[in-house]
Amino acid sequence: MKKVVVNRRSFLKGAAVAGAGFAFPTIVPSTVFGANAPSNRLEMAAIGIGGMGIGNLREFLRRKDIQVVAACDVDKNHLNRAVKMANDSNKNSDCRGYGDFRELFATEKLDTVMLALPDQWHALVAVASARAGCDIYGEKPLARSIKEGRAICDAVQRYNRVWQTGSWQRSRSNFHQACQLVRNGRIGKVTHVEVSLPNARGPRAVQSPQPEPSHLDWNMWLGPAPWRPYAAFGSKGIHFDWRWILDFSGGQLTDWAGHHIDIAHWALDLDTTGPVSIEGSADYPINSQYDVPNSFQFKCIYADGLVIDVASKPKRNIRFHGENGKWIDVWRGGIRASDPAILREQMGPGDDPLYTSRDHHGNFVDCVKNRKLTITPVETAHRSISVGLLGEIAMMTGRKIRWNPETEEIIGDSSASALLGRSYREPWVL
Amino acid sequence: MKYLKYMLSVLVVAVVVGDLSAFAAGKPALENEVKKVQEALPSKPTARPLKSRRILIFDKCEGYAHGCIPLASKTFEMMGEKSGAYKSVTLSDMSAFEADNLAKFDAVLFNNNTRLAFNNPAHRKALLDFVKSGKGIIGIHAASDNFYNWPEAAEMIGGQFDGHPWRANGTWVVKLDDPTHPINKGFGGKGFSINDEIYQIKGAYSRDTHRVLLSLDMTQEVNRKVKGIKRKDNDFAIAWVKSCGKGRVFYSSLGHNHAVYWNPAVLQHYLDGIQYALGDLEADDSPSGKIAEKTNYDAILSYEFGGNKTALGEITKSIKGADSERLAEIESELINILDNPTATSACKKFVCRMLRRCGTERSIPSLAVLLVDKDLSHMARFALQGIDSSKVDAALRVALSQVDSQLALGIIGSLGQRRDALAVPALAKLLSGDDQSLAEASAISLGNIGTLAAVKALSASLASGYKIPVTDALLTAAERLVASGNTLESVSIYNKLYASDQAEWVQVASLRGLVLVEGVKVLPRIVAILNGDNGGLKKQAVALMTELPPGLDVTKSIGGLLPSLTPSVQAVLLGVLIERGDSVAISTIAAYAKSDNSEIKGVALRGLGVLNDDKSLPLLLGALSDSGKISAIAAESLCRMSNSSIDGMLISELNKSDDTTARCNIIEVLATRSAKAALPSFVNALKDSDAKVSKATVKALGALGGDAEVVPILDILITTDDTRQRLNAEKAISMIAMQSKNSDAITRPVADALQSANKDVAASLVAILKRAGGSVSLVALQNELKSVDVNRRKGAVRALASWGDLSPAESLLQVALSETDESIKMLALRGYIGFARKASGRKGVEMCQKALNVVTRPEDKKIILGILGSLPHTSTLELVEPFLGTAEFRAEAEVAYSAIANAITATDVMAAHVALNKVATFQNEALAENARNALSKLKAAIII
Repeated sequence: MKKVVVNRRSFLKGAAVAGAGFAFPTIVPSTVFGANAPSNRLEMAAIGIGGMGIGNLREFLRRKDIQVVAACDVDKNHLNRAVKMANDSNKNSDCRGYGDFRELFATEKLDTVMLALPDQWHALVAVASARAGCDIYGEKPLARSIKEGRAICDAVQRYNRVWQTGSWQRSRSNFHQACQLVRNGRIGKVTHVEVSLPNARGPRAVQSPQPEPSHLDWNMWLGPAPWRPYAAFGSKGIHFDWRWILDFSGGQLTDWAGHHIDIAHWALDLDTTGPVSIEGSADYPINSQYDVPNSFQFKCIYADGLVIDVASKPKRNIRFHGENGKWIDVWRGGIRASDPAILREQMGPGDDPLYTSRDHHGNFVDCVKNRKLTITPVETAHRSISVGLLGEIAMMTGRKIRWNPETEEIIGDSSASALLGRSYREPWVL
Repeated sequence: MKYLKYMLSVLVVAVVVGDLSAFAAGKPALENEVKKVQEALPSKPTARPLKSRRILIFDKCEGYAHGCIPLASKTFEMMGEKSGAYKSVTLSDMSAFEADNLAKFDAVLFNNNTRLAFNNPAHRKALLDFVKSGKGIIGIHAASDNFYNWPEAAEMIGGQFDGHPWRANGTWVVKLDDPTHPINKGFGGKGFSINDEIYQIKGAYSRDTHRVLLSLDMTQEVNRKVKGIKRKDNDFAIAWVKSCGKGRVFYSSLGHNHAVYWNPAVLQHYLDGIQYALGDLEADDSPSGKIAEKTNYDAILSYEFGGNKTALGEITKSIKGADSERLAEIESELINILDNPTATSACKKFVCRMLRRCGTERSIPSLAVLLVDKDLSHMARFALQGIDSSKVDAALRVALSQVDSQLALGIIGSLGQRRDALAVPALAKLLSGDDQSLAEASAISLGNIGTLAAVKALSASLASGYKIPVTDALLTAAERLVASGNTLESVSIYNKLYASDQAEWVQVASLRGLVLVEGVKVLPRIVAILNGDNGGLKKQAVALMTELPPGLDVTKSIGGLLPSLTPSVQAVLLGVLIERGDSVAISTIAAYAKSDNSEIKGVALRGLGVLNDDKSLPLLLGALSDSGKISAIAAESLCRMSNSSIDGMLISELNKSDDTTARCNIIEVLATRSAKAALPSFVNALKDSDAKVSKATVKALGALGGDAEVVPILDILITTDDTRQRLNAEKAISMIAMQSKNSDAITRPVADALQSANKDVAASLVAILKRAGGSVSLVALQNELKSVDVNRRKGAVRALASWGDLSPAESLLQVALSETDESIKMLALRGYIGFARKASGRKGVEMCQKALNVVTRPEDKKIILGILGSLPHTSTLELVEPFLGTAEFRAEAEVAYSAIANAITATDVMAAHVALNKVATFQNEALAENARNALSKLKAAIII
């Protein structure tokens, strides 16, 4: 069994390395300073309570140390469902409902928020949450553009808030095992990673504008995104299927970057950096309601020569290629290796055991209490989605993008640089 | 092959006749075909010739010669004569391309030539000069099958033959790419089907350079279902025109089949193409790509949300991968649309999206106009915000003074994102104005701009009572100032916000800023917090300490704080020191590892393990004999450390230490570290009088031991008088045996020892063999059945009865038949019946039959009947049947019989039928009723 001594910082600082955030030392319990004041229960507001939001809400309602005191959504149906769910769980009628997050923050005094909004809203609400002193459980992808992601990181780190990203794969044993084995050299030096993400849903006929439904504040739903008339995008009205429209999402690529690219970064200790060049191509639909690519592929090269190939494929896995033909393959259903003995390897002397969490939501709550770094802090989420967003820029422009991960600037391509940020529709200001 | 055969015959004829082209032309055209052509030809030119025109028809082949060549030459000669469009001469010799000769013509028509090499450089130059000077080239059908070593000419004609997936005997659907084009006039504006051979074209062909007239309609299945398609873009052009220098090229791949030459539409197409090449017929030869693009730009002018997005998609696609020259062209088109008053709002919004991708300084004026447009202001910013030019800032500032407050909010945001320092005065004014929304937006943007002037405005606002988002803006500005090197002003901001009556998280942010900028200077403030009573703030303070800058001096300062703090806080600060991990930190931590306070000691020992410093080893070894919790931490640290000498130190400590706690811990650590060198010491420790130590040793040996350890442990097992030692040795060997792949090497010495073993030892050895399994163990245990000692025989029977497979079954049956001791007899029989239960199918039935012959006790018979019930075979019925008539076994027999009868309905219907009829008469009425139901279904099944 080959033992490799690696950077002990990852053990000391959990998921993070230098610059990721200021956290209570991993090695000592923070309980010496007492339980979190003023009470044991942390007050939470759930903002954005559609598909992902309701799932997260259910997880938090299960916990005795979280009290969901408010919910916020621009869809009255979603809001009413969430308020009822919280009240049923709390066995009272105290949960307050809001249609506008600004009103929520002006009224409530909160410890934590759960954010699960469409991507165009991520930055505004996350920054507002940090400004209000909240610790944040936020859905991936971190933001719709790299500059918005940086603004979130700045605000969260500015107030030293605890941030957990909804990249729950990090709290699953098979992904943890794969990353721990790769980090500790069990397949030798990894020089190539293949990240396979799902193909898009495919084109859909262009829809004519429709009257706005009375339960939905459509203008507020659009928020900072360019205005467009209401039209039900998919089978659930606008919900869920917004992710096939570039104003709101980058499609499967940005949806899954926060999962599988995130895992590749974790395994290779790249949580606070990024590639130096990105090149690829995508097949964008010509006449379709949806404008995200049908299929895509791009190649990322990192400073040390590591190559991460990202592509839409049916497989949805991450394969790490090491030395002497060794590999590890991990996906939601399991883990495989070139030799099954690799998977039986334990951590031993000199190894660097990886931050462990087996409960993604619980990890957030624990960290809120003890001010330690979560398994997916904000900088990590930013760097994971940055890869997807850079891939998107490379594929949109059709040019090879050279990237400086230190300064977060595209080198020598001002048109591509323009795509790093997004201009907000009035009245929204980031 | 076709070529080769043909070339050979050409060679022969050429030698004899001396005129290659004479043969290449093949048989002369048939009279009746010529007549049909003559009738179908147009009788007048489409355009009046500007002067008298002469065409050189060239029909030489150096490859395959099409049969249609003579007819084709005749057709084009007659076409000129009948229509009056031109006069022509047909030549077949390369001398036709002497410059003097070419000068006599206005165009060259390549009639189905193949593999022309043009080896004479003078001919090559003459032809290229000819066309580039403004003359015409016409290519018919195989004219694209030439110039394989002459790229300029291949490019001139516009592409090269790449097989003909659409063969001459098929009928293919052709579409008009340009229905109103003059050279397509003959087709009447509609696509058509034609029986001809269609080429696949490779090489220079592109819609970016060619004006495509005809191509295969690939929406038609008949066109798609052919073999040999290579192009991925589905673009199979048939006819095109293109410019070449000042000259004109017309090519049409129609004209393989003879009938094509009397197709009036095609003849009109040829004539119009020829007249274009001659310069007489006005025809647009600008590339198709450009035309399509122009069409797209026109199409989007009237775009509305919900409308067809094809043109939008094509324009979006054209930006992808375009070079800077092309992007400039696209930008110009987009600017034109912005300036076009007829373009819809939705169209202009789309154009703004595109300008976000490719806009430059050139787009700014047209976008700037839209900034004051209520409907388009945002999309103008969408394009402008990313353009790298100070003119954008200027335009935004001008617009800010012209728009209403709603649009102003957006512009303020864009100015902030662009960090326009020149916008500060305007934003400062809005910050102190009456409109709260504008003030808040201005605060955010001033924070992003982050200049000293911005800070001044924000500070003034803070003093006047604004908080959120002014505090946030100040903190943002402080970060910007730090990044630009101005730490002085940032410290002042942080101090102001830390000292003032701010929310806790604003204080945290300020403290964090001070940690980053001032480093260790912030320690007194942290100490004050740590000595205070705000638990949440204490945690934050400690978290912030972990990011103090590296350096021994800073570490020393943190260490210096420790003595004055409470033990709990000390423990936490040790955590901070562990994260620093430098030499000063290690020696400070080592000092606290000797603390009497177990909380502090635990943190320190854990830290020493993480920091992996060799000098910490004695401390950690010493702590192994400490109380439970502490020694466990020390052990965990030693497990983690990577120094290779640790194992040696631990082994010698194990050998000399008489502290049982320490010995236990060392054994566990060595086992966790997979220290094989410790195995001899482990064997030795097996004899340790302390129960905990020997227990730990058994576990360690089980995990780490191999074949080599078996004999020494066996030695202990045999010689010891101590029962516990013997049992531990038994356990250790069993564990090794169960993990080992080569169990014979382990079981053989055990089996050998069994022969001379005393009673107790034998019991242990039998237990090992039972767990180890394998053939050696089986033989040894079967031998043991012959022992004179009753207890040993009993032990062997027990071991064999729980064997993993059926192999000891027969031996057990023998014991059951021959054993005199009743209890052993019973054990063997029960064991045998157990195997019968495990055996499936006929084997099980046989075993039950044998067992029935031996058993005497009624309860055993009942067990066997139960087993039989689970073995569905016709023969089993016979075994059960005799019991049906006995009062003692009837109940069990009926259940078994019924179960078998029901189970065999699927495999043996007739036998099942008979058996179920019997069940129907059983005393057990439930079974009988069930059988009657089954029978009625069965009857139905049999009848069907």
